[in-house]
Amino acid sequence: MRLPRWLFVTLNIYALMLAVIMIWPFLQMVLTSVTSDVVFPPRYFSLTGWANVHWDSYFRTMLVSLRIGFWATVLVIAICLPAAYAIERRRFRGRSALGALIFVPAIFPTITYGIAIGVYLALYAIELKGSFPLVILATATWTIPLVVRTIQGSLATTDVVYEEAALVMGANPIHTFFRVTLPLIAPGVITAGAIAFTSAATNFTVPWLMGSVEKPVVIFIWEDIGKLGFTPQTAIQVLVMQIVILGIVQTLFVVFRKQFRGAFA
Amino acid sequence: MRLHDGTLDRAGAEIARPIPLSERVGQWRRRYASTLLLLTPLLAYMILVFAVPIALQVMFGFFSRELYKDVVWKVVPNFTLENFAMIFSPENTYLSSLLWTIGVALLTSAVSITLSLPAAYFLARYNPRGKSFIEVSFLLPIFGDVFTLFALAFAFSSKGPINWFLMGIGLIQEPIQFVGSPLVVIIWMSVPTLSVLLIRSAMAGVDVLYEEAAQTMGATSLQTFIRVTIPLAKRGIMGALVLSVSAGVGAFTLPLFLAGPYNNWLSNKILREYTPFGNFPMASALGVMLTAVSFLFLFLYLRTQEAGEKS
Amino acid sequence: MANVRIQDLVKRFDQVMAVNHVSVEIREGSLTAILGPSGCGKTTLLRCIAGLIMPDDGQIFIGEKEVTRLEPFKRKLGMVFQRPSMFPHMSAYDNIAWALRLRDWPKKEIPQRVAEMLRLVHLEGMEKRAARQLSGGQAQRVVIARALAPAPDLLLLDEPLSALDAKLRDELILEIAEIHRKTGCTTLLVTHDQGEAFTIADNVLLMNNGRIEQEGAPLDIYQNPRTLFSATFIGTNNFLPGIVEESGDEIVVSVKELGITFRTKTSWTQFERGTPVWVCVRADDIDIIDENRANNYRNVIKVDVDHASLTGGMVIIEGKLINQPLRIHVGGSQRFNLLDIAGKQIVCGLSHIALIPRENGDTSAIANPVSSLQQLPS
Repeated sequence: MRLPRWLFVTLNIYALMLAVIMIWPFLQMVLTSVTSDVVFPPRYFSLTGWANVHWDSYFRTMLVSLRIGFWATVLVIAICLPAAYAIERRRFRGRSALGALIFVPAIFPTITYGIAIGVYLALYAIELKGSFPLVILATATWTIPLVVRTIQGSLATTDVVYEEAALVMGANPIHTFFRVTLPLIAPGVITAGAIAFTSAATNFTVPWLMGSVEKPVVIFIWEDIGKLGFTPQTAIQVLVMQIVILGIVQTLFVVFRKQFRGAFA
Repeated sequence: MRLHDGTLDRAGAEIARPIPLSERVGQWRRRYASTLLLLTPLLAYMILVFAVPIALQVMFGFFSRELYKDVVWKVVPNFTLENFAMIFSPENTYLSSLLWTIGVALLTSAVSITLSLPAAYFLARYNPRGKSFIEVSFLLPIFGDVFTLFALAFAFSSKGPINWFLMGIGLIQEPIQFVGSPLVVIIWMSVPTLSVLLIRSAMAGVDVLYEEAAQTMGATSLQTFIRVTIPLAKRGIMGALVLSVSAGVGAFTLPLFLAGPYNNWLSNKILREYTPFGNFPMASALGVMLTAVSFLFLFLYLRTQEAGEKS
Repeated sequence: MANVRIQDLVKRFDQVMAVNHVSVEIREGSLTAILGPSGCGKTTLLRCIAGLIMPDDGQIFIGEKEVTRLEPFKRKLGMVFQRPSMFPHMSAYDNIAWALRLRDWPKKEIPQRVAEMLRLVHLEGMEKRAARQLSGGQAQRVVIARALAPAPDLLLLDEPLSALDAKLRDELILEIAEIHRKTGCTTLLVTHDQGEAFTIADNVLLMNNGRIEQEGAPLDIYQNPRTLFSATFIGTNNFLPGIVEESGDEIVVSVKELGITFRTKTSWTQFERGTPVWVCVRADDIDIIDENRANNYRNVIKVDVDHASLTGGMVIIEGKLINQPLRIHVGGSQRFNLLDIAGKQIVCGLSHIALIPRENGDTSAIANPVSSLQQLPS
């Protein structure tokens, strides 16, 4: 459709405005982290907030978050990669039903699932309450629908003819998967991994409700706010968390893409 | 089909030949064993880590509790509808909480989807200024909503930029207390986020040809958009709507962080039954209600998808 | 290198018999084309041979070895697919080298072999290119080289050219013939394009509805169709319903409706007297002649021309033999003299006719001549 000039400009401004709202969290944090209080527009620029953060305990909890993210990602990729392959490449009865079933956690209320696990543990396995492996298991559940969908989409756009060609050339199915299928769907797998990682590393509800023994950084910040309210040092903590986690995701993209290409080029 | 020289008999006889069981098992194994093997980890995980706790929760919803040695509450495994009766009794705040949760989710989803329609269409069809910036920005919410939560608290605080702006243009005299009230939650739920991307891909799938045809018939841009583009992208839009509603119904951290620990959302009621009250059966029953509502919307969504397939 | 023997092969998809009791033997070193319309089961047959599909029944032998239930990677085959299948994450060199490594080719000889194969497909110097840096035709050549590199028992070509444009197709098909001549590898080519099959194959399997309708050398299939399908699928044929009057060295057939008799000495089989047959006359086996040269032809007919149209290389004449529609293709320089013959009567000599069995009372080909004059979309 051809739009009148004024409408085009209006829509353009509208879209840009929404985009600015989306990245507002980041801008807001950057701004607040270098001011002395939380008043807008900022009155005094100051870096004292940076000195006030308890960096020891902050980075200890950050490490917990990263460990949760890492193990949840490893776990979820390990179980979703074969499943996505089967759903996309094999024909069997109940295939579409399974595809729909996997989608359920995506619309499942977090609180319900968190409480379900919490109650179950409180009643029957109090000694496991808040244990690290269980926190990983429960946070990973959340990421399954997106991970399966992303890998499945990647497989769907990769022609099965490459796999058939490798089979006829003499590569067995496992060899074919690692030598042909996986390199071709690598971008999808990395994207899925990045989503799983951020989602698990920043999950608040599940570790909090399960009473995670090892505190992830989100809960640390939340408790800090409970003690001191919203201060510039909250902003600093959130900002650093954002930079670390999104930075890892970025690195993941760059490094792995290069490695995948380099290995087979 | 015309066949020659009696092969019909041969083919027919071949089909009728009973296949021995051992061969059938062998065939089945060849065909499905590896598929099952590939699916086993995920199926086992989904059953043990997801389905079992949920099933237990549903069961707990029908249990009651009693005081044990006058000190602690104990869950009693007797089947009762007491919890659900309490939820629907007008004396308690559960029902009003449920209605509030659903009402806010529906209202904010409707607003958010409506607001995302023009932006989604614009991004699907045109190459505007700053397109890549816009697209990357909309991807950010995928990577964790926690950052957004904290930022909102700053943005909406009484001395924050939103109040500053509203007072600056003279709309209000005194700063509004957004944080700690449901207002900021409702506002943020109404802002289009991921739905823009979902609807954009649905609209990109609509052939421009239909729009051009409508325009040559004399329809204005707006008429074309409402009568042609939106109906043709209906399935994608409904998908975004259901995701938005179920996110709204299940919202937990957003009200907790921004509307405070005493907010009226059902998720918060569930939390308070769990801790500090420790009424596990009641928490479970409320959880079942919330899940049921989510699934109701999923069901409605699947119905619209089926209807879309038939037409 | 090996021959292929297929015995009573059956493959069903739900209730459709994709391959319906096919038995055939493919000679060692031959270039065999499996020709047929889409959905005839030719690709299914090829994929059964490759092992990408398990047949429901029957046996497949490659050489002396039975491979019916063998996994594809344990058969020593090369295959070229319809869709582009050069691995996009490997260079041309790596595509071919991997194929060699998978077949345990001596490590030291791999670079030399790859170079040799690239020379064979005229891609010298393109070793480092990835698929996205090659044209569609070049990428397909890499795939051919990759398939042939480990000297497979059998080369399978599944419509290898149909994704390419027409000009490239003509060029590459001749190259495939040349490669076959050089390597001598038994080759199976699946195609729906009769031109492709007839140009390079030394043996053609004509398939329809999951069965092999006819097998033979291209010229034999062209000249002596044995079923109505063969006659309609290949080229443009005119059909006249007749009854065999005389059998023997020369077969005489009369077409009662027209009061004409046809004679032939080159029938592929003997027909009993009184057998109903189709007399099929290829549109390009009809020569327009002077009346005084009629003695050179065994069969001469007179045709009233309705319409003549030039299609470039040839003229299509539509006319009537008494009351039956008839189509004639004329090529060569003669064609330019024919553009204004509409409404005139011409004398035609038939250089060749074929007889195929007809069910008694079946005149459907005559009743609807246009549909019987099928020409395949290329």
